[in-house]
Amino acid sequence: MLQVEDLKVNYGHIKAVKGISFYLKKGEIVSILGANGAGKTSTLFGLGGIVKREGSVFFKEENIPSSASVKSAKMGLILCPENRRVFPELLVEENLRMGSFARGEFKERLAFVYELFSKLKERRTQTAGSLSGGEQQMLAVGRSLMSDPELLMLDEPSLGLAPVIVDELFRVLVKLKDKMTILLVEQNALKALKISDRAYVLQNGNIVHSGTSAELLADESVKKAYLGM
Amino acid sequence: MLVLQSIILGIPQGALYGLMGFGIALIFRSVGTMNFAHGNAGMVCVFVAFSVFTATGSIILSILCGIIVGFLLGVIIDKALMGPIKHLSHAGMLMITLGLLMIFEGAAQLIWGTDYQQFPELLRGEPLIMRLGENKLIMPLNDLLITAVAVAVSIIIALYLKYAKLGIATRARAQDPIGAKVVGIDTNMVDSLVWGIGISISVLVGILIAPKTYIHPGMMGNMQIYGFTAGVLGGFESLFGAIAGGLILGILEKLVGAYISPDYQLSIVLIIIIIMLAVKPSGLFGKKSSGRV
Ligand SMILES: Nc1ncnc2c1ncn2[C@@H]1O[C@H](COP(=O)(O)OP(=O)(O)OP(=O)(O)O)[C@@H](O)[C@H]1O
Ligand SMILES: [Mg+2]
Repeated sequence: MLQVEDLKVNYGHIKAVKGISFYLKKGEIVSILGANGAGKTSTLFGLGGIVKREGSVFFKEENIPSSASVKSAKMGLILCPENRRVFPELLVEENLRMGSFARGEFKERLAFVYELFSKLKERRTQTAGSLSGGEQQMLAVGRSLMSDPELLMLDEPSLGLAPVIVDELFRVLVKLKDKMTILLVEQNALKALKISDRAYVLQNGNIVHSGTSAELLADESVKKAYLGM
Repeated sequence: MLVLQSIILGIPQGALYGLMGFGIALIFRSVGTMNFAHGNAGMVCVFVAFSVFTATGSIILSILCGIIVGFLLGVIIDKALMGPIKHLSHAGMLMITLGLLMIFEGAAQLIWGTDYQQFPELLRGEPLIMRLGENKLIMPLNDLLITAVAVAVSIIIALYLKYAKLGIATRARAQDPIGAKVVGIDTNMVDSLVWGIGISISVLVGILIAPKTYIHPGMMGNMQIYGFTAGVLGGFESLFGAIAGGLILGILEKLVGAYISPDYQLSIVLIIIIIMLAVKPSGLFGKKSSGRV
């Protein structure tokens, strides 16, 4: 589904991602873990065409050039970015409508998203900026689901959410698993590993560990550094 | 009575200031550039319309050509000049618009000369006269048309921004460029569109005001200042603030002209900008400012 070779992301002379390679198979949930500043967001930004990158990215066997955000969105490689990035002065429903800008049948997807997050339906005529942080996060996830993702990339979807809501969100992700492939970036490593098939650990822009979730959960050094166990 | 008459004369003038401010605010909100060349870009296209009019004698055709050329000019400004530095520097974009301001004026002088050219009013005829008891209020027919066009254009663009998919995308892009990119909005295309629409509006304003100012390279100088002031007055964060700001300005200007002296009109406008920026930088209708969106 996704094949990434030698991905590099630079900001001027700051090297955020230093040539990483990884892949996702259809139907998998794969996590990318790592400390602050490890390069997780930069990796996703590179894949989603938000920042310039080097290296090759193949999605559904098709080459995705650098900075091709429109093309990736149209093909179903959808990023749900860090910090929500909802449109604060647009209504909830207008935000969702923008979710189906590049692809996805609006009415059909809207029904799907409202079923998943009934809260959003209640709030549909409110501006996104007036939602609580948790509701905005749901809106961000809902907005990416509007474009009928084939591969959904989620960047710290649980950031700033109460534990109960985090659990709810992870339940939703598991539910989505049979509809799409998921690439998950999370600080909450334990929770992420529990629902993932495989994971990569990033450190200073390099992949330092990779394996199935079970392998990583058993690895002493990973446990110490990232799981606090 | 003088008050009422000033208001009536101020409304069409103000509607044009408002429309001008609306275009400037649209570009500022969406793309983040304060376009100092807004008026002059419009002026060049009014000359184009004038040339078409001289050649064909058709007002409709000349207006259409002027507006289309204005749209293209906006797109070209964005693609050729703003595009390459968009992500680097807002100050850089501002400098470019200042450069354009002079280039357009110079180009117009070279091509069309500095003479004042006449452009016909769109609507001729007896002015509308209203009687109020003893007094008469006069509303020139063309002024009525100007007001109607300004109102219509603002409403059309408001509806576009509110309901059209690309219109919503324009607002989305202004509010969160990264959010816009991840949903697959072609932000560069949206920017070009905004520039195109913005400059077209300036052309329209130029054509509407041309019967009064005549067509010449400096014809939009005042419009630029008043349009900008309308934006400051209304607060650049709400597009309709600019329209309201323009109306207030137009009426105020006529009142100053009637009661104090026409000589002071412009200085009073400048004083208003300064007071406004000092007292309430977010404008009369602005909420507490939160950056440019
Ligand atoms: N726009 C930018 N300009 C310059 N440097 C940047 C920029 N964005 C990120 N960086 C740097 O790149 C490195 C990786 O950042 P990135 O945001 O990818 O980390 P992250 O793993 O997502 O961290 P976090 O867990 O805090 O979100 C950091 O050192 C950061 O300072
Ligand atoms: Mg990050």
